[in-house]
Amino acid sequence: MDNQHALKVPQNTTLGLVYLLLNLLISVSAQFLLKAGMLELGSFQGQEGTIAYLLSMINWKIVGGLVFYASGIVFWLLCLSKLDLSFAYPAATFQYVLIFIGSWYFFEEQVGLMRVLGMLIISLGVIIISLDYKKT
Amino acid sequence: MNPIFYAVVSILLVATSQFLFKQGVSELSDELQEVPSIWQKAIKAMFKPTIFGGLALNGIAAFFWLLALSDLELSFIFPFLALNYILIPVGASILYKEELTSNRVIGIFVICAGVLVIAFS
Repeated sequence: MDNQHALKVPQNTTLGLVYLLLNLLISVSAQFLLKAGMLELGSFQGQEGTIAYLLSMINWKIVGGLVFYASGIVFWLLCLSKLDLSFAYPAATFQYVLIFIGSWYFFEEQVGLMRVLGMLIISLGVIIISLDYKKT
Repeated sequence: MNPIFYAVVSILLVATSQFLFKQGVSELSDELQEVPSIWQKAIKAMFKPTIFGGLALNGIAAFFWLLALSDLELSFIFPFLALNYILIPVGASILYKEELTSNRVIGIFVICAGVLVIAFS
């Protein structure tokens, strides 16, 4: 049954996986840039929405984060042109794992045991859905 | 309006946008063959109604998600996201005849379990 499926996979699976990986890395970098950019605005506490606040949002981190965010969508579309939606959408949850690692590494956010467990379970799920592609 | 209604609308819009994207890129892979330059390809893709519509639906979905968030705690509505990991593959198997292999079904349920564990952490 699984072998039949392997034959039906659309054109170029490897290229599709590369696009998916690029989508993940770019989308995750976008979140880190946005977070870092907004952290820099911390001194505006209580005066969000003022012109000065909005102007200082135009810095390379936030603008770069938004550009990355948009580029992520392009790679998502490229990825969908090569891979099944029912594989790519659940596989993209791996983004949660990358964001989790980055939040801990770059921003020293608190890491709860339950959250680590959740990340491990998601990773296991992504590995399971990826097993079919070994055969292609 | 019940805030859960907003969350459900948001999730259904996201699912619909993914189907539109898939539909759009599948059609494009044929249509773009004869277009030579990469820029023309990009512009043609962006103005394709299914792709453009999918992007728009994502924007509207974000709006509904914010409405839901304004009334409910994130930890309460986050698990609703797990619904899409079931809705989207099931929809893809119906609409695009994608095969839900046993690995795929098991993996999707494991991923949902992981998302729920994070939601309740």
